[in-house]
Amino acid sequence: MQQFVVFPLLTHSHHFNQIKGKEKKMIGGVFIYNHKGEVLISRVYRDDIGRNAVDAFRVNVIHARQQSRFPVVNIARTSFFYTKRSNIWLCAVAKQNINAAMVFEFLNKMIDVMQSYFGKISEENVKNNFVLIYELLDEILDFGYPQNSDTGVLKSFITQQGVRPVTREEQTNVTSAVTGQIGWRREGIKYRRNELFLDVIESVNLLMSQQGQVLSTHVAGRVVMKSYLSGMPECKFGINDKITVENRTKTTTDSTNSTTNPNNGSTNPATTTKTAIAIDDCQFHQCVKLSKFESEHSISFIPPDGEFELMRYRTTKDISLPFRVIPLVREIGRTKMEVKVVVKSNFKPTLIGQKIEIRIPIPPNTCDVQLLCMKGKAKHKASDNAIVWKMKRMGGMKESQLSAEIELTPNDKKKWNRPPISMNFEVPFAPSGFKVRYLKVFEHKLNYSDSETIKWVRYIGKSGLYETRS
Amino acid sequence: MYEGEGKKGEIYELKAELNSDKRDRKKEAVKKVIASMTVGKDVSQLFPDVVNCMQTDNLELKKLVYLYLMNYAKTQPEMAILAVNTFAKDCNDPNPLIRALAVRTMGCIRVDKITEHLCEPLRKCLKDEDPYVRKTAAVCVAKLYDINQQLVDDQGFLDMLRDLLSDSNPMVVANAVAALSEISEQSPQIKIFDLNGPTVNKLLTALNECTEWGQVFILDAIANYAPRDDKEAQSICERITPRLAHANSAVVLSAVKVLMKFLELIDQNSEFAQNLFRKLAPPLVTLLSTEPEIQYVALRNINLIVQKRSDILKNEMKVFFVKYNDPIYVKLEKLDIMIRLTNATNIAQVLAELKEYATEVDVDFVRKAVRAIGRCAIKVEQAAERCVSTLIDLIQTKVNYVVQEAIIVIKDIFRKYPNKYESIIATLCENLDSLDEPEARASMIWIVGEYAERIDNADELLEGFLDGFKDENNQVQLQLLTAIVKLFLKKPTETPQELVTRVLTVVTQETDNPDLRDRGYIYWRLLSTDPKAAKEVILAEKPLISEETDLLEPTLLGELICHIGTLASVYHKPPNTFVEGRFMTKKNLPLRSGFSNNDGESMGNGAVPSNYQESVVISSNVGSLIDDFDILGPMPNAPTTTTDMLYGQSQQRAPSAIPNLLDDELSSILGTDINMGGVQTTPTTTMTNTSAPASRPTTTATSGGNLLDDLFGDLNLSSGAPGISFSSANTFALPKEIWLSAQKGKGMEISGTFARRNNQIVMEMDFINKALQPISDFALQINRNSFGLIPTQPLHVTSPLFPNQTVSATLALNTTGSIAKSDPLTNLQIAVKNNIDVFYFNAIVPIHVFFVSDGEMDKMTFLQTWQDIPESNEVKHQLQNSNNLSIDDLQNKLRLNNVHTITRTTIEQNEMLYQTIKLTNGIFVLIELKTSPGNRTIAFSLKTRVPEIANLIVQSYELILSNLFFRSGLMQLERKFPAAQGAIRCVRYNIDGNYCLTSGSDRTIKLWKPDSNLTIKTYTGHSQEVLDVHSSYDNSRICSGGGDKRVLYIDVMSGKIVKKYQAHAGRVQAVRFNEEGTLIFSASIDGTVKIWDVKSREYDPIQVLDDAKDSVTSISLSGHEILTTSLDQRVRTYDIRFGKLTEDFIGHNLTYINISHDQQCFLVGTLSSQLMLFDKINGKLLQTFVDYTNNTYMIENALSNDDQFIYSGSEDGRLICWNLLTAKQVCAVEHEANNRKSVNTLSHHPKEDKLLTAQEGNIYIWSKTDKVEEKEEIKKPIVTEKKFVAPKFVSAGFE
Repeated sequence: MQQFVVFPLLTHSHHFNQIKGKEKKMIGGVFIYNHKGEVLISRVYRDDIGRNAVDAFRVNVIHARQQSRFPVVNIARTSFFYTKRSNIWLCAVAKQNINAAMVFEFLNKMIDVMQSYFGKISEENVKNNFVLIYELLDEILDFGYPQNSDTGVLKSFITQQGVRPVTREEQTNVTSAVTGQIGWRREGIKYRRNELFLDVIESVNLLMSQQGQVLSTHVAGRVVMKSYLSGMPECKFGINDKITVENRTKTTTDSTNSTTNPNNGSTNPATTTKTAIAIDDCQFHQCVKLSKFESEHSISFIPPDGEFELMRYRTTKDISLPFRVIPLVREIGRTKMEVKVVVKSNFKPTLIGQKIEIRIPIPPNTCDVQLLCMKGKAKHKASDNAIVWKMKRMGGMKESQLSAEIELTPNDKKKWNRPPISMNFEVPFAPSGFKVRYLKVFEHKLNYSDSETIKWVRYIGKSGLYETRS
Repeated sequence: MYEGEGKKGEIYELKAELNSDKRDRKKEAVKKVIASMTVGKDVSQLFPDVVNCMQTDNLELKKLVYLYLMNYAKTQPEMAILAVNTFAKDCNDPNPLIRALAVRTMGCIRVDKITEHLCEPLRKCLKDEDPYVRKTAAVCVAKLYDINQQLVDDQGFLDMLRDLLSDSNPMVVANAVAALSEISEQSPQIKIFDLNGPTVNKLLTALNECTEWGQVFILDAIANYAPRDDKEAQSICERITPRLAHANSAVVLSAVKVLMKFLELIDQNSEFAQNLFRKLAPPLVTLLSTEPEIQYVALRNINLIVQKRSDILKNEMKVFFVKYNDPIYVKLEKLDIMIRLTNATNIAQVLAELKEYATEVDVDFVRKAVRAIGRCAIKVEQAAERCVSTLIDLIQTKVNYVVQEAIIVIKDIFRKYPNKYESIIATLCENLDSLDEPEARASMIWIVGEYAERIDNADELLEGFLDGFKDENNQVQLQLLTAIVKLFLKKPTETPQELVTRVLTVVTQETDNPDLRDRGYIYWRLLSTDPKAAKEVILAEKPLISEETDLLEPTLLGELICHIGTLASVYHKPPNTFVEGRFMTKKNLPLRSGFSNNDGESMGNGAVPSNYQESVVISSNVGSLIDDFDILGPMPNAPTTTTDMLYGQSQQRAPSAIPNLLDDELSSILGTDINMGGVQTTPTTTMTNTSAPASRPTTTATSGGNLLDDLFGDLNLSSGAPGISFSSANTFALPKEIWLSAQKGKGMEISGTFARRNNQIVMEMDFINKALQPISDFALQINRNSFGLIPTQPLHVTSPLFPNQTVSATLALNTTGSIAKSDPLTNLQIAVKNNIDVFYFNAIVPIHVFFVSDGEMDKMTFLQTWQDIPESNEVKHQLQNSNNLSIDDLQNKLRLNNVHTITRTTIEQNEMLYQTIKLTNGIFVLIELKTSPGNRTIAFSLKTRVPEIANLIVQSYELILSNLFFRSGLMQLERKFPAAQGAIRCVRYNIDGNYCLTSGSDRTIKLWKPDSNLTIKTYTGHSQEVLDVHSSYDNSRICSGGGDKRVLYIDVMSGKIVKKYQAHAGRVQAVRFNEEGTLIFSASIDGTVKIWDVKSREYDPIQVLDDAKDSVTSISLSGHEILTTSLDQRVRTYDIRFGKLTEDFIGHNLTYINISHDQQCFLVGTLSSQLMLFDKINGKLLQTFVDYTNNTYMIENALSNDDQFIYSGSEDGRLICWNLLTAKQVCAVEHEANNRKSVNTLSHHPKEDKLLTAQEGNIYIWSKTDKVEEKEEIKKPIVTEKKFVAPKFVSAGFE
């Protein structure tokens, strides 16, 4: 006769006997290859990435030549993220469901950092600097987690000079710069002349149909700042953004404070009528206090020393397109083609556009080209299958024309699919109408005032993808 | 210098240089070593020499040495110890950079022996004064955890890490978050990183100040947080929104992820949510001006977001226009999104673009563009004409792949707009010869077959194809077969007839493709037996095609939304499909419930993403395949009769017509939990509690002591339970039956039943969408009927209802409507409207739902009324008391259905019951029941003034008495459906209970979605009946065993047999996977258990357990133990870890074993009609469970998830449930009223209180309803009076 006293069924715990599946949430390794697939740098961070991963990528991606058409590939449950710069392949490996956007951002950042250390990414440069690259990789990626990757800060302690006889103070400066709230600026900067430069650089993107209908257009703008300011200056930046301007006119009346620009030569002439523009979206350098922007729509920040990109923005409305290309392509029979291209400049006559280059694609089976242009120089570049027409400068409200006769060798193999005509240029105004209204500098400790700071503003409008279908 | 010169003495030279006194030479040498290491040369011999260089104050040299160390420490663990001292020393260096470097490196040295030495330095560094060291140390904890979890636990590093979340330095916080997130995902069972309000608050504060990467870590962590309510979700959203303006796309996407997830919790119509949606668009668009790789990631995510909420980007079509220089992957992705955003307003623009793209060079891109044009036609009706003419233009170009692609889409257009564009057939036919791809050929053949009557030379065309029949692709062959039969049916002339004969002969005699052959047989039989039926079947009207392609399944979409920014969102696959490891926590969108209940309407709609309402139709390849499914179901190997086949076929049709969905089904099976909230909620309409209006009985007779008391003798009508009211709020309900079949309902199937709940008549319905497109706009009306039933509120069904989705709805009815006599009396004509059509059908309302609760009358009135009603109105009947109910049971049972017992008496040993029923319309029915002892019939006589209802009442009595459900109140039949695979041998839930597997005597295994009785796939491969089947824990594989002595290892997705093991000498009774799915255990009648390693190439078992003296009947696995039962009356426990065998002698033939969920006990079924529960550890008998029948078959048993109840089938057709503690039967339900066939197999739902059982060929799903009150039993455990069969405890080697 047995008795059971305690009945152990009511309280039970589930046993998880197997917890083998390991989660490696971050980058497992970074490889750099040359175009032949030889590995130049291989840094593995995680145990689950073996040497065979290095080979897998070479075999399946580099040697497969275009077989894999996506920038992320999964080979044997391992994901490879890659990008290519000139002849160099950069590849990050991970076994888990990691943040893909972050990996690519990281790869790009890594390229930036390397470029700022030793210039162009080339096989030779990578080989010559491999110790430096390992050192950088050790610093900016810890166990696969990206760490502070700001070039300015990195340069302060990864120098390739061996160990510097650093003082204790300097050491703490470095570490606080790497980790600090203001990771982008170190303390104790001093300039005799406090000066800052603002470049508003816009690239105009356009896709136009043959009929001259704008299919899509947008301006991607960047505000690049070069600051040579002492101490820890706080800056406030004002632009003619619609929301900000409306806010201002509503709340205050003293908003007459406009651009403090000493060489007043570059007010924005193309948009004199417009007072405010609609910005679709903007992004800021990490120094900008985003929460403040969200709540008050004011851009305030403590700038890094030297050059940096303060903000990026995008606009799609009311863009004044500086140039218009009117193509006329006639195919005369199988062996002849006539191309006529008219370019019109569409801005104030007092301004001058520069570095104008128009690239007119022609069929690959072209054998001869007769060119005639009113202005500038035009050339047939057989290697590019294009006519390149260059003009050094062109005034506003002008027009120029190129005509070409093209002879073709008969070829039935493939239809030519008329790539669009693209254009490059540079104009001295912001096509979006973007305007800097003010940039104020406050430095409380060092006591130099806003008015003592010398400020420069420049507007440059460039072509992005400026295409007209032919 | 970079690459070693490859000399023989290279290593030797390096060695010398490493030991050089000059620092520069040393450094150069180390550099060379590292260079060799990079290219994969083995320089591990230099280990001691390199480690010697560690002691240096040159930081660069030190770093190089460390790099070397990380690489080779594992291969030279002994040597690596040498480095420990240096690490310890470096961790105390005054220079924080060196301290950090040391702590960073030592975590990367994965040598067990070293790790112990690292704890002290790490602890110190976690509290270092310098934030740079602390942030490095935080990561180091994660590294250490990866090497040795126990150590991290023991040393309290996790707590220290949690403390760092409050660090003053944001970077430290960020790294701590990253480390904690990783650790907690590694060990999901331990609450390591339990986010709560204050923590999130801290993180949000740090978010503003840390680096871009830190922001990503924090946002990703917050995405896993579940806000308490919508307010909190809103405030978090507010604080995260500024991140959308960050320059780093990863920050932006992670912020989008958090917002998308939390927005689920916020009222979609609120101003806040609307505002937020507006804010999401610009940053997403901005992502398209980044580097192409990031663009790609962004586009893949936008693709998801657009599927979830198309309105976010509806005005941004232009940004997705393809640029000439975009890389191909960006182009393809943009095109995909363009199609999704296309609508009537922008179609012109889109079409112009697509036309442009169709002239590009990249073949894939062009094809996709052409296909896109077709989709536009299907999506936007106004543009269809333009699209078609564009396609025709493209066909004129004669570019081969363009033509083929165009034909494929045109076929879909034909299906969408029948009789509109057939004029272009001629143009299409011109290109017949150039088609060389199977899909295009198949499409063309479909067109020819479908429009055979309009194409004069259709026979010639098809004949042309037929000549090369054998060389054609399978798809084309099938299509050709169907097309020829269609042609014949449409033009039954000479040539077609000849063709049909030819094709059928070839197909049935010369082909070895079973699909083709079976289809051939079916056609043949159809044509030869009943040409009319053949016409109906083959030329049946085709279901509508849905216009949206590859929309992700909503649950999957929801999961992917939770993974925005990550690889899963790039692959559009849940992480467990491309990631190793099993214990993944599956992410789901939060379910918006529990708060903001104020508007039920918008709640319901809000739960379903709004964009689905407008998203409509087609899958690119549905059209081409649809014909396949007209006729082709998975056919049984041996066709029985034609009618059977047709039946089976029509059952199969709707689900299998959607190949895309099928894939989704299968891929989602791979996940563990797909029934997620947020997307698929199935709200039922709230029942209003207005009780049925009824006046008190108009009895005016004076009560009080009167003569009748004497006449009726002692009143014991209250003997049942004094406190309990006479009536019941809920009467029993019949299981749902199909009211409207999917065929009649154009894809909508309605099954339902009537019941009385809370004194209200309700109609309970299941709506199943078996069409290919979502169904919406449901409404219901009831025709005038005998009892004046009308709905009290409009029908509320969550819409749209997606394909294969099931939604239940409850509609409260009352009887205040206008009355018209219907025939039969209880018939109800119902009309249901949806966006497709209006459907009419009939349903019979069981009369007992009309019985009202206040139908009692006093004895006087009863007697009076009885006498007043003429004799001619009396109806007599003999009721079968098949369940042998006692008079008390009888009374109780009827009482629960509002049959009121007025009085009860005994006359000459005959028990008499006098009862009344009142119907909703005030009709009274008076009943007299007479039972005599020993007699199983009950004499029944009834009087009512309305004789028409008499028969109905009799029927309802029969129904009530034969049904046993009420006795338990515990198990309720939820659903019953035929499996169509002969007798079912076993039913098994999968690991998460969302799917089930059944195996049958017809040699097939079927995979079901039990919620919607949908067959997902049928697996074949056994040559005799399949006795057991089990799915692996990751749901990717199935193993099965059967009468053919085989064990099969089957791939779930493809249905392919991966391995076939044939080493058993007798039939295989049971199969199980181990948890990893790497081993299969099979038990056979030959007395052995064989263990198969599925990963190895061997076809021999890796181990054979042949200890049993008789056939092994079942296996159960628990961790490292294998338990088996055998007919030699023993339970054998094999302990794999110790290689120990324990035998327990039970003394009965054993049939089935189950281990309790707490792993403490096991439950065995015996052939002597008792279940026995033993303590697994010491073999003590704990309890026996009796009162069921099990003498012949192997009856399976199950334990409830909380180990409180025990279930078993029974050979008398019942499902029995016992309380585990008391061994008292709490419930016993019959499967069918008149079917006593054995219930052999059952499976308990792994999560819910549900059971799956099978009787003969039907599958039953039971759910446990309310807990029953068990009176008095609980207090006294029945211990002493139990007869114990003393188990022998025999350890290994004794026998």
